[in-house]
Amino acid sequence: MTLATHGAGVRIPDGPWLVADLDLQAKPGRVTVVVGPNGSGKTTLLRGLVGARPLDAGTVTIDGHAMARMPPRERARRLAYLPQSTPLVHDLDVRELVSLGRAPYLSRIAGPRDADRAAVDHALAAVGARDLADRRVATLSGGERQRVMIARMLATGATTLVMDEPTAALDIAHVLSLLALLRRLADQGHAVLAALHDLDLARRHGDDALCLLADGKGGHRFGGATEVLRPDELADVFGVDVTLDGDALRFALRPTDP
Amino acid sequence: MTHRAELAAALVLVALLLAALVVGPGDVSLSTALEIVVRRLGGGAPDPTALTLDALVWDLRVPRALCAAVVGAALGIAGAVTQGLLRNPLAEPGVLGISAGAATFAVFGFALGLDAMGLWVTPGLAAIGAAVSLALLLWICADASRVATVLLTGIALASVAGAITTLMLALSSERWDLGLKIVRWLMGSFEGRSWAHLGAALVPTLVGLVAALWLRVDLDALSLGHDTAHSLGVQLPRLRRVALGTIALLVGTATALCGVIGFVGLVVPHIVRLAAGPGHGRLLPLSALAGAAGLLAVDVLTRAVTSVVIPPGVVTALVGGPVLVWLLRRHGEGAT
Repeated sequence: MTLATHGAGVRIPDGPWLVADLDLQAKPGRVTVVVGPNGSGKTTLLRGLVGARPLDAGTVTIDGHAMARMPPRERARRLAYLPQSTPLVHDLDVRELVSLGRAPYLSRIAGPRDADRAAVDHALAAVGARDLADRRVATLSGGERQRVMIARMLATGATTLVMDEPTAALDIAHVLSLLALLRRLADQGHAVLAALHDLDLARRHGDDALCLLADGKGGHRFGGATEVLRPDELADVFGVDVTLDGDALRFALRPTDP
Repeated sequence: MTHRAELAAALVLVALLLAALVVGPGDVSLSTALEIVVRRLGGGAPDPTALTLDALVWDLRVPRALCAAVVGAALGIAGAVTQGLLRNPLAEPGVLGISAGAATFAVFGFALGLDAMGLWVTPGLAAIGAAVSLALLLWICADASRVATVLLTGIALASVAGAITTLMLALSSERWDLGLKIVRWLMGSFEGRSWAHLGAALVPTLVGLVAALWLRVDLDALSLGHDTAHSLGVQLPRLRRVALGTIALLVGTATALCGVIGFVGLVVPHIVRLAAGPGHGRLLPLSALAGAAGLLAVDVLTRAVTSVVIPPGVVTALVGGPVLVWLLRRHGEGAT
């Protein structure tokens, strides 16, 4: 399902706009990446897109339906969100954690049904974490933990997946395997929208890209990843020298004036 | 899923209820006591040759034991819901000043003589006091994710509530009977709790249990954080309102019946989680059972050990305080 924004904006309360007039589409089958300097408002924007905070302007639609008017459980079955960190209060095992993704389906009276258990198994298989099902979440490596968190999103049955820095704090092997997982999910028909801090990886693994300019006016660029994440544009936004070496971006500090 | 924990808790509770029939002054054998209970449960009249014995068992010990169990259940459920709502395994109505707020409002009712209007007045006022304390706590700690911030705010609220209670006590020092009544009530006791008291406590406790169970999916989802819970379809404002009302009802009921009893709501859910995991579907009913057994055990044991009337809150605090310190050392640092 396509997640679209219409004139969306978020701002610091009584302060500058972080993002203004955003018309973005995260389409099924595509990985849409969000980049921007620290403090440019990536997290604030994503929280606004999923309704965890109100948008300061504009609306979000899922397949043309206004998200704000959708019953919360129905929204939860279409749109899943993974915050940058998920501090766990209790020591859960993996199956318990992924089962929490079934919350939008559970009755207030009866317990989980077979369909719920099947969805959890399916989600674990989809991220290649079946063999982790009985492990305590606290014993997982960072990479395993993120896979399980994505399985928790998939257990909702949502086809639009919004993730805030899912690769943060992972080593390079896990980063690449997680990005491969996101590609696989997109190929299966999910719309994947993910904030990433690594510009080079964002450019190679994203189909579409949103770059926040951090200009205090809510400026941004949205379009095809290779178009939006051009070296000259990135150089302006991030304040470093950027060159393209074959298919890879190279970064260098600007020489400071003496 | 096996229900070994539920079965064990229920068996312990039954054993304690039987013990409560025979422990205490007066030589009553278990068979005599059970005979009386069975006769009265069947609607029979008391044995005219043993009226004192009948009154001792049926009018004193049975309602007293059931009151202790119901209050323990209410506090166990209230503790589990408080911990779930605040995402804080160290939260508890006693520690956070919610019970203190309940006590302040109840004492206010005593000072104005409102409690003479009916048995429901003190529980009602106590529930309002608990709701006010908890609402203040939620408002002050709206964005606080640190375990310690919530606990410290609770300590501040408890201090203010305690000061107001003491002030009312000081202002009533001219009236000895009132002062004595307040002090007795504040210390808390199961002495002389009757069937009428039990009725007044049982209904709100059952309502609280049902309301808490209705929230179980939301509380489970909330353990992943506010944003994730929201994305899973949890309506956070409604969850906060219902949980606040549930906690206030349970704490108000328990506090009105036997004063401030701390730490039951802290210790019980921890023990239950070790046995049955953190899911609220099992945590809530098990906390009710284990809380009932725990507080009844406190009453039975103190009566077995001494004829001096020891307020149950004293025992729970003597046990619970050190447990809180231990939990704080285990959770506090990592969970900030």
